[in-house]
Amino acid sequence: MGVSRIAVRVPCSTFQSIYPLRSGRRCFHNTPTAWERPTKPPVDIQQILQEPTWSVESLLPPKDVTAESPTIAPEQFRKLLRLSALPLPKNAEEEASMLSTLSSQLHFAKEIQKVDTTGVAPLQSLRDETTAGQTEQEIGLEALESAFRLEESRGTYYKKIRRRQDGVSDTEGVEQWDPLKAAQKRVGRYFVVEGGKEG
Amino acid sequence: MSGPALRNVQHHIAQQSKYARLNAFISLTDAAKLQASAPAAEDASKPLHGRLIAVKDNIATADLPTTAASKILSNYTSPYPSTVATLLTFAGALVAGKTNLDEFGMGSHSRAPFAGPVLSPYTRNGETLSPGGSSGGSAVAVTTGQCWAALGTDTGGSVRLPAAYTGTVGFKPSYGRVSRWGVLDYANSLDTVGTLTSTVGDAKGLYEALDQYDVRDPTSLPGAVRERITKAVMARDEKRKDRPLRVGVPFEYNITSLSSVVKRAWTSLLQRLQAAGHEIVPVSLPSTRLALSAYYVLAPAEASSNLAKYDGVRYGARVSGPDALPKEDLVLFAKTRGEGFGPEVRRRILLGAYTLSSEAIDNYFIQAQKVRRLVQKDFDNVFGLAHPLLDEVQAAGEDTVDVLIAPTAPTLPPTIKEVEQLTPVESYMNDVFTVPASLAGLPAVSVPVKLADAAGKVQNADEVGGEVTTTGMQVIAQFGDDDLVLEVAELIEKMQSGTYNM
Repeated sequence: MGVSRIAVRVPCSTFQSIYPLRSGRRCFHNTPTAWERPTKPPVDIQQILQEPTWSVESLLPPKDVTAESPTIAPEQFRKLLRLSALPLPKNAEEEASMLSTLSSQLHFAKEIQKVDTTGVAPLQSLRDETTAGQTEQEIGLEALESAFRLEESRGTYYKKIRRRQDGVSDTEGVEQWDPLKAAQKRVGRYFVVEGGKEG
Repeated sequence: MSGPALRNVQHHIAQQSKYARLNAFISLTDAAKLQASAPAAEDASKPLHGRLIAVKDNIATADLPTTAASKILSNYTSPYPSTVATLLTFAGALVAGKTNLDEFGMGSHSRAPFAGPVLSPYTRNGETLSPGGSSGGSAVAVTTGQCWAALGTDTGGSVRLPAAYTGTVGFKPSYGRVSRWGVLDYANSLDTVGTLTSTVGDAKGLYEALDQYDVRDPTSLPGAVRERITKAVMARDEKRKDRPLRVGVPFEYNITSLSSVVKRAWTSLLQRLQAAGHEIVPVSLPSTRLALSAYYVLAPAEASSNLAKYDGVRYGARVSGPDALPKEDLVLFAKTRGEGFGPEVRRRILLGAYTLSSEAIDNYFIQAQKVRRLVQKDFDNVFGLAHPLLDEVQAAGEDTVDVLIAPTAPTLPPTIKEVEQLTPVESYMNDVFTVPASLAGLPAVSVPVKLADAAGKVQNADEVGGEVTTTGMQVIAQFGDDDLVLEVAELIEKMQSGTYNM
């Protein structure tokens, strides 16, 4: 198409906030003349956004039928509550409502099971996964040297490794608080857990 | 003494009483104490001197309680402040108070049963609107001038969504940029600390004070990674100065329930960017359709593990009487946890317990982590900048982009009445556009853009209310490219105010 690109002069200062930019930060496109190089014709935005691509509501379980949704047996449901240290439902009505919510949550989650993930490494957390980064994070003998220096072997037949307790550890800013202070119940310098009587 | 810091603080305090009914704060710093400390904060050498900043109540401060809007922490004051709270103080800022949220950040409308709902100052036909969540208190405090800026947390959109609903700027930095030490865990692999501000410039200033390595947070990005990012960004910027910005438009963010007003605002913004000479590139991120489901497996699973520690023994509220009642089928701590957690928190703990159980873990939790990798790869395919945490498999192709621009939420804020009608699962739908960037840990900012029919309406800064005149547009970039999302957000902001010189 014969639409020509318009070159725009934007003063660099327009992009600077009241805060000075940190070193290494720079504002972009401060040489606008370079934009005049021929590129692809601009896309028609209205056209590319004309038709929706999918419906997020398709993830919801159908209002009337819940037969297709995964179900949890009442026995398993009670086990989950015990594992979560949460009380059992007060009555059958509450149990039914909790089961129905859990089932619709699982229906919603089921979508991920439709995709083939063979050979895909799970993303557990965002951490440095580069080869160089992994090497940096490795703990070698060098890093532990100071700890090894504090070790000594004792005994002749049965050797035991012990660590010398030289001096006092630096606990500045870490132990200047009373862990018991926030406890609602305490007996002397102890926390309290009160178990109920069995049977 | 009456410097500008004191005058600003007094202004914010007046706004706090004026908008108290919106329930934005759970606790406030004593007004007399604040005014007394304002002159001392008049130290111009500090970047945030005299600035009054609100802190979301799931971020620990040593002077005020930290409750996460949960009954189980109703009497809890942390023995130490979070790293971010300490950094604010170092930078000369004053803490305004602790803002209201969805319990432990679990929700999208800031309606914790214990702390009571946050209300938006905005209405539709007289009906009060949702402020969004979970950082709704922070967003409302900023939009009504009760503070200069606020900290929020963003796990799946909790800073960006309330920003979009209240006409504020909500910035979620890359995962690991800002310390989480002293931030109550909800879903630790997704949780980030973000900012809510009136302008992008304010967001930059606040972020600059917070963006640093913290030895006490094992997920904080170490110096070597930060250096790697800076080098890559500088090399890319060197090339970028000779060309226009390349803006990606993800097809998958054009869903059937995208409201026509939001779609019009999106289209018009892209057209203006195009007219200004920037290149608009349609892109596809196929796993967007799976992101929401993966998120609602991963976040509750991590929550069920992270919230296992709340038993009332060492801290927090606890019921009177024994901790277990075997005769009544109450296992240890069940009574305290049953009464201490609200219904949505209990629902997510239970769902997490299931998806982590031996029979379900492979099909749910592990499968969701694999889908999370697919979401990360989708983003990686479209960005020109290489991912700093991954080995480069292939050089970036021709059609790569610098940023993606898409709406923050599919619709304008719903009314509180509409929110009350939603089932738990229906309310998850709101997060469809914010969750993908959270899964990949990418930097994203929601910046307000004017609605077509709101052009020309002038808002009085002290009188906030009436119909909403803006919606949020999200700028997303590659992991570590935080400065770029803020630069582009500032460009969009300038286009709104008309100071952008075309």
